[in-house]
Amino acid sequence: MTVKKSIPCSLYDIQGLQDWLDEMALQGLFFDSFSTRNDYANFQTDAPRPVRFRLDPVGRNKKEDARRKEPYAQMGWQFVDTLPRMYYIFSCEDPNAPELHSDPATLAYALNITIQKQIKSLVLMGLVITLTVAALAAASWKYLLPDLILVGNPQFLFKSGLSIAIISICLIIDALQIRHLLKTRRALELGLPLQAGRRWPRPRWFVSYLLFIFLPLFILPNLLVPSSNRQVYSLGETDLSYQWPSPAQLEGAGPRPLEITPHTDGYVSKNRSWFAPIQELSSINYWVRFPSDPAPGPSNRWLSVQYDQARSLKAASLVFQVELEDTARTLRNWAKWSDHTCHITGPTDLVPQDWPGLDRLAVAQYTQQGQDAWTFAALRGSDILVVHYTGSTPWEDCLPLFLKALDEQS
Amino acid sequence: MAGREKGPLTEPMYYVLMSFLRRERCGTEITEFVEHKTGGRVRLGPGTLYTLLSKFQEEKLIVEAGVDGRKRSYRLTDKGRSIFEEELARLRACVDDGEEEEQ
Repeated sequence: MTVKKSIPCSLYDIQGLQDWLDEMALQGLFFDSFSTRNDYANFQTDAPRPVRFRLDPVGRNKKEDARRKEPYAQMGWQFVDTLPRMYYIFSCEDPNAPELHSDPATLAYALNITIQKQIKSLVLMGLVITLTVAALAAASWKYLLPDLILVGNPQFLFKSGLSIAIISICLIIDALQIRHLLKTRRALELGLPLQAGRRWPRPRWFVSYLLFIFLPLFILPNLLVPSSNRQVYSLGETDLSYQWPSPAQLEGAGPRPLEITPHTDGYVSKNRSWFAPIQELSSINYWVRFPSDPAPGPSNRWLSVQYDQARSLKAASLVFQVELEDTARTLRNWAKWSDHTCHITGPTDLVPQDWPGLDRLAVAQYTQQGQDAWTFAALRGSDILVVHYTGSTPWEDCLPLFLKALDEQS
Repeated sequence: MAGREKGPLTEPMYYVLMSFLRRERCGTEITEFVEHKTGGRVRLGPGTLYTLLSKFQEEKLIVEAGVDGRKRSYRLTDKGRSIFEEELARLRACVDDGEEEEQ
């Protein structure tokens, strides 16, 4: 009959593993093989008797190693199983047969190859993981960078950070295990006997996965970290850092001032991040109808003001670049949406412009639902402003109103 | 080890090298020689024996002399002989020093 038991010690603990297998034999469980993940050992049951199980470090050449099995058997040691890149496991029922490794210094030498293979494997794994993470980060950089700067989705950032932390911890644990093996080799070189390490009730693979991967990565972030930091309010429910010009004021600055105050609807959302502690978006829909218009109903217009205040001038430049790229992406997306109220036609590129008092300015002019529309992104000191506007007033007439608003409360 | 920046030979290393002084030998013959020579005091485990054979080959102290089926024989090289002699001289010096102090 086969019995499966979880291994209660580190695979790098040579003496601990040997002692445990010997103890199992005295209980009538004879080691047969390791599980694929090397977290379980399979035993065959039989009458309890003393059997020695010993670990023989792997050599450089598998063929050469395979040739040893026969002379080992002639000297009383039968091959049982392999722990890949680590050891071969041999057993011996003959109490008079000499120990598999009767000279600690020679065993220390034999361990060199196991240590080299483990270091190589760790370095390779570290490289593969680093390159994979770098490739993933590079591929998703245009989405990742805005998240890092503006923290739009803290849960995603938390999960990404946690994944990297868990992987790093796993690599560090592996490195510590190799260090343990190096210490063992040093002790053997000095002729000291092997010492068994601490045993622990090694959790089953599923339990460790649940405890160390699934729970922290998939459950805890959902419970502890919100998917969005944004607080959403209705218009007038919260104060904004600046009193931005209203649609009526913007229309008033243009060629066709409104004849009646428009009906407005919209929302305000607020967010914060280390780079930009103030992030405010106010989105206002308004309806205008000129009595002189032949059109039967009012037409829908839109004003959106995104204001960010960065922590410093350097951060502001970074935030502005992120907002600029995000705005360009948004405009391109709107141009693709054929049956959406946001659909735009015409050039969507943000063209750099000069404006007195502004560090940077980029403007796009297009048509939205048959009406003139524009978008500008402006940087002044640590203030970043991105405005979308659908209306008859050109951006050149509206921009001074926004700058005045900034001046008034600065 | 040999050369001998790594320090003196251990007993099993010393006796394995010694076993090749008069003739080439295979694994079983080496084990028997060492056990017989030391009166059972030094017993070579198969792990120790084959690790040493591979190490000595790597350090060019012994070379493979022939293969008869699955039996491989090895012989000592000049370098191996000189390492053995160095170790013998070191051990002699140790014994001489000890005896001198005892008198």
